[in-house]
Amino acid sequence: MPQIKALDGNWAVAEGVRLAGPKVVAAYPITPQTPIVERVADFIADGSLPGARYIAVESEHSALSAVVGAALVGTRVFTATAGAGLALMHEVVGVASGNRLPIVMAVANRALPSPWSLQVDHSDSMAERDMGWIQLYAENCQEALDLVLLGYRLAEEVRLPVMLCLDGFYVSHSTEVVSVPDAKEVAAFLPAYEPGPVCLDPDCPLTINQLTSAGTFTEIKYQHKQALDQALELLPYLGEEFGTHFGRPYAPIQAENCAGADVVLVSLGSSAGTARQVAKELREKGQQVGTLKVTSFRPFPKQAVQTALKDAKSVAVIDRSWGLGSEGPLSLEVKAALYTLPKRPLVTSYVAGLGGRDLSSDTLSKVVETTMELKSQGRSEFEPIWIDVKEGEVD
Amino acid sequence: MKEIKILSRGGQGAVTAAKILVAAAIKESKYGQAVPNFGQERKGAPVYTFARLDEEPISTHTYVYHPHAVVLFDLFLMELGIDPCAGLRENAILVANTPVDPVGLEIGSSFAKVGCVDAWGVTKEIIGPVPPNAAMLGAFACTTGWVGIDAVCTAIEEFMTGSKGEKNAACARAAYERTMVYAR
Repeated sequence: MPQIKALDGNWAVAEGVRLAGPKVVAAYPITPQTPIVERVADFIADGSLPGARYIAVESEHSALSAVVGAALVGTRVFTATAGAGLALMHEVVGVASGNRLPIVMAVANRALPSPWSLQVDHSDSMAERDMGWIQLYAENCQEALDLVLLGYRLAEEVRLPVMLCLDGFYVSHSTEVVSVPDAKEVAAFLPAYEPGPVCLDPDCPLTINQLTSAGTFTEIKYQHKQALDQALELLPYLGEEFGTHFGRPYAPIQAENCAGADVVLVSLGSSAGTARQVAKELREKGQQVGTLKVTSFRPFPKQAVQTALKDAKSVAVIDRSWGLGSEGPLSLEVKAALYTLPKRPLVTSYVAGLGGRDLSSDTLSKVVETTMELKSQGRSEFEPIWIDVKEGEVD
Repeated sequence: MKEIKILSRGGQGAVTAAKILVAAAIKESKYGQAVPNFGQERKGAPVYTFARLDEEPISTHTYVYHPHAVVLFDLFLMELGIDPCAGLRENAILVANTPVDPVGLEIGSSFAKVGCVDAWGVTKEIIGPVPPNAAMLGAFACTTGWVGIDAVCTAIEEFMTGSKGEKNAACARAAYERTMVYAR
């Protein structure tokens, strides 16, 4: 029987890790992720994660390097980080995915410096978006737990690492009602770890990750691309299967009331939940507002997004990252997904909720209002709108 | 859905109280959410904590701007310019940590219902010099009726094991019994 508990997002992730049973965990503490690895360390110390080893390292670069090494030996591994810690890992992020290692790493999203911030935006994970990892964004504490389990299953099926992103504080430190699955049910969904085709073994020495010439580099990267394509094909099935085991199905996107909508709010992370509530309240007042939540940002479900949005009148994409020099990454993806349609909805890009600023219901209502106003003029805004910027706040 | 704003200082245990409130909601087959507003705070600095209670799952993930109830751990926060009456919903409820009779509480006039308890006093008497959060939960249960005192006490004992849990649960129950409630 699942247990219903009051858990914050960090502890929910830790429960997911306990149930998945990695054998090696290496991490370096950083706010707002620290309670995840503290809790996992407790589980290892008290025997709740039998046979697991915690490696205390001196940096995030070493944390990811340690789990890369352990994954290469052939075991399930876990790490977690946030913000500047993820940035310090950057070099190894590519090593992990290029070596096709099914690592699961939780990222409690935190704005990258500068200015320094402890608080959420997606600038940390978005900076890693093209590094060949699967990126899943949790809306709430339940999803933070579930996506650990779904993440390991998907990672091990396609031999790719999964970055599980949860909004710093709004999910990581917010407490909600979470159903913690039964270990037996988890075992039925997530089988015991099977080592991949390439493994380090002292009895059969080989070199992995050596210098690669132009003769084969492209082909190896192409295989990597195919693995992400495969992940996108597989995710809907695994998400359904997750639903049959635990009663909560998952999909790469969650689209509600999009067809014919005057405005569809597109977002990821915790604000997707707020958007759904705002849309519900506006629909009750007679406005046609839909929502599209992107759970899988990498691989990006281009076709599903196009299908969901093709019959909407206008679309407002909310990026909780800067997109400096261009526009937010989610907005770029949505626009690209719609480009091949002969008749496209109007799309306006919004930036909001940076560095921990509350992405409030009022902010999202203002997004709807602005998009409606633009739609009534038959247009969208060419440049991104920083909807919650305050005039005169910083001189 | 009931939206709650908790005003306190770092070290008074409001974040833990909000978590316990979620656990208490589970005991009554309800949904709850606690959203802390962490900054670079230190002990004694003002802390805002937000909570929601509902019969349905809660999808909003934001701070609370229009509370149905305000829980005021420390009246002196008002001297720092913090306004417990900001953005109140109609018929809002105040739960305040003060030995003052709610009829005479000045800010009470902005609220439809006011519950007052000397949370420091009750806590000191039953446990000792520790944060008044368990007592404030008892006062919250008494004043709002949105969660039962039994659920609150069970949730406290889940969060704090052993004698610490028992003492805090006893403290919540004592505060529940001693809360003076005045409805306009």
